[in-house]
Amino acid sequence: MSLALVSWCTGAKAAVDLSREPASTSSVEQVFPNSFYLKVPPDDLVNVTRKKIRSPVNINVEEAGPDFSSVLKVGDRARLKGEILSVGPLEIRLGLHRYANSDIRAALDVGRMLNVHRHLIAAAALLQAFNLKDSILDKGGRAYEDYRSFFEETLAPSPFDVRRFERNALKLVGLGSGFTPSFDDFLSGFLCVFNLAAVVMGEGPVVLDHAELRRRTNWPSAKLMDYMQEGLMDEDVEAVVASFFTGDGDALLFDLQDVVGRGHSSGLDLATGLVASAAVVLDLMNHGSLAPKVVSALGF
Amino acid sequence: MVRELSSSVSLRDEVEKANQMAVERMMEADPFWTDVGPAIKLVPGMKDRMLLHAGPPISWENMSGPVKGAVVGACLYEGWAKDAVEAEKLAKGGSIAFEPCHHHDAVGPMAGIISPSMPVYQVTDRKYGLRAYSNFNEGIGKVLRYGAYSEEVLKRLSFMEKVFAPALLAGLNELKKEKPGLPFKPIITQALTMGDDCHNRYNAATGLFIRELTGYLISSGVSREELGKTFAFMNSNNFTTLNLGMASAKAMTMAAHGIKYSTIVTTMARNGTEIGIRVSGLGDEWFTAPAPVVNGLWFPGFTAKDANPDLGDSSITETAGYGGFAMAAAPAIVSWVGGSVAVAVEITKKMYEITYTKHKYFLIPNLDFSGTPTGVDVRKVVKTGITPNINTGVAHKDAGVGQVGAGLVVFPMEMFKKALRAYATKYGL
Repeated sequence: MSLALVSWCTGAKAAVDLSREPASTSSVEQVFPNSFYLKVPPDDLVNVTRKKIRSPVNINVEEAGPDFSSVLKVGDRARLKGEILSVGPLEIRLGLHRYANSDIRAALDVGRMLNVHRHLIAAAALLQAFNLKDSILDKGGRAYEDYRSFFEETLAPSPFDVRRFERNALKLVGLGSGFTPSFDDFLSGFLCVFNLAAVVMGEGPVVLDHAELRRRTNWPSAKLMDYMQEGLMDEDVEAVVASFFTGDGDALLFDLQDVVGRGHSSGLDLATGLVASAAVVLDLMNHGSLAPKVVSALGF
Repeated sequence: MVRELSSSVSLRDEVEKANQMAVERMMEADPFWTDVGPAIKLVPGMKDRMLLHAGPPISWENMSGPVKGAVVGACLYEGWAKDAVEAEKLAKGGSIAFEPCHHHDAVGPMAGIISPSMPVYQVTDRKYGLRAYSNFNEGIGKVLRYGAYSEEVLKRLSFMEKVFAPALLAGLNELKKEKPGLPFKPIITQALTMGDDCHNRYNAATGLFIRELTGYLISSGVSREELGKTFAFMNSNNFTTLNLGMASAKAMTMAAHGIKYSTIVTTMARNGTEIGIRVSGLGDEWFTAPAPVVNGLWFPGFTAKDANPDLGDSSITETAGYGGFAMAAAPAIVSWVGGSVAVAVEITKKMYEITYTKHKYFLIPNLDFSGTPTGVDVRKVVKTGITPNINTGVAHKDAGVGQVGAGLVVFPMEMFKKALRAYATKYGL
């Protein structure tokens, strides 16, 4: 018996990937009560979710309906036929509304970005104050000493060494708790900001090899890191990046809170990556030493 | 300049210590009803030609209909104006000072208007020595706090000032020959086990209060006639003790306020136009958002279209860990505010996710005597996306009408995010 759902927004990339080869079949990669991941050939991820947050790779569906984990299982097939995405017993009608990221690099204002250095320190302190168990900032976490070494030895030293960062970051991929491990979420946030700002830094972008990522962590986490390092962001992350690029520190502190809220500690870890990266970006632009202050404000 | 905490202590440790202290003080505060008198005599900073109101600061121009109605009524009651037109002119003209009740250690339900001559309860926290105040409860329907100002309303206010308050004071003075005042925390504790939530259901609390006071009232020397009127007034109004419950909550939250680093909310209040919070570690700064709309049950003849946005200082009860947060203790309340018993239980359970602790003394029997959700933590509100859910009365949006219903309301996220932003800049730099 099929269950009909309506999607109110489809990510622009998700729409392209699903209709790329109409004959091909995607499959369910992971299922949660209110969302599931599809693997779309050859190797793309689509997130079908009841959450309201939009992203180029999300399909947002109405809130009503069954617990997805009670009607879907890993390996269930998915096909797009016209406007209907069939996934196991679900028939999801894709609406016309599309979500794509704006050209955020166009908003980059080097002069104004320097205004937010104090806000980044404040943001770091705020993230620490959340005191979330199992997050990258949790002093009681099993991997905390590894994180601490990374922050102190890779992020804090000035000048920032991109090659050292790539080497050391790869070693920690897959580390931490959560379906998307804490360090992966942190790295997603870091690479997103870093790579989008690369044009003004004279450094980067950092492109971590997907095969290497895949060797160290699960496929959805590796894909999400891939997308973020290419600058494909959900709207909450985009708001934070926009605040940073336009030098609006007050908005940055406000928008960052929306990122913190997601998942158990995923949001906090992601936000930590965004803040740490912003500090490194400012240092590279400005030959400054903000990063060690932010690392210290994070509690390391 | 980056202010550095001691290398051996982190901000997260300071926050936890501060929050632990804040909720401990909130729970250990011990409010006693200790006095009755006119506001100008008892309320700190109260002056002639001053009106206190519920919620964050607001000017006459921005006040909603029911608050303006209550202001008009207060002006008539005080004799500052002879009719509504003159009262409005006075209010617009700037010769009345409008200040939040909260700025004077006071709280008032709905419009929360307290004028100089109005009798107020004084509540003294015998643990920490703080004092809080609230006005008297008029009953429901066509009353001043819901924006009505008819002759009937003014007559009732006059009765409360000239007959009811003096009688209560006489009874209290008799009681004070034996003890320092009437302890109100045990009344709340018991009432929560008897089906009250101590915000929109005070049936048991009022009964307990009358029981405590009756002997003293009788031996106080108040005339039989006045005693009769006093008992009749209390018996006709289950909300008689709402204002004492609010003043008690105010005293408890005052004990938790002003603790450096704490992220515990110590004020949640609405003025009918805006809603605001204050946080223990952020001083007296208000963080505001537009007042939300109530999802209500309507009195006959009224609908949602008639309703004013949320209004009143009574959310001080939730701030202190009872009221709507204890709705699971009060299944019968759904006949007044709507929803279902399951929804009432669900609301209490949801509030555990945004509060710091479970109350030591306020227990909910049908949740296995679990303590009530206590100490709204701004961090948890932002982290979970869950904001306080409370129950409340609803005023007509126009002045002069009164109450139109009661219902459930969800507070907006915006003010909590503003508070955390301020926290970040205060303590992060």
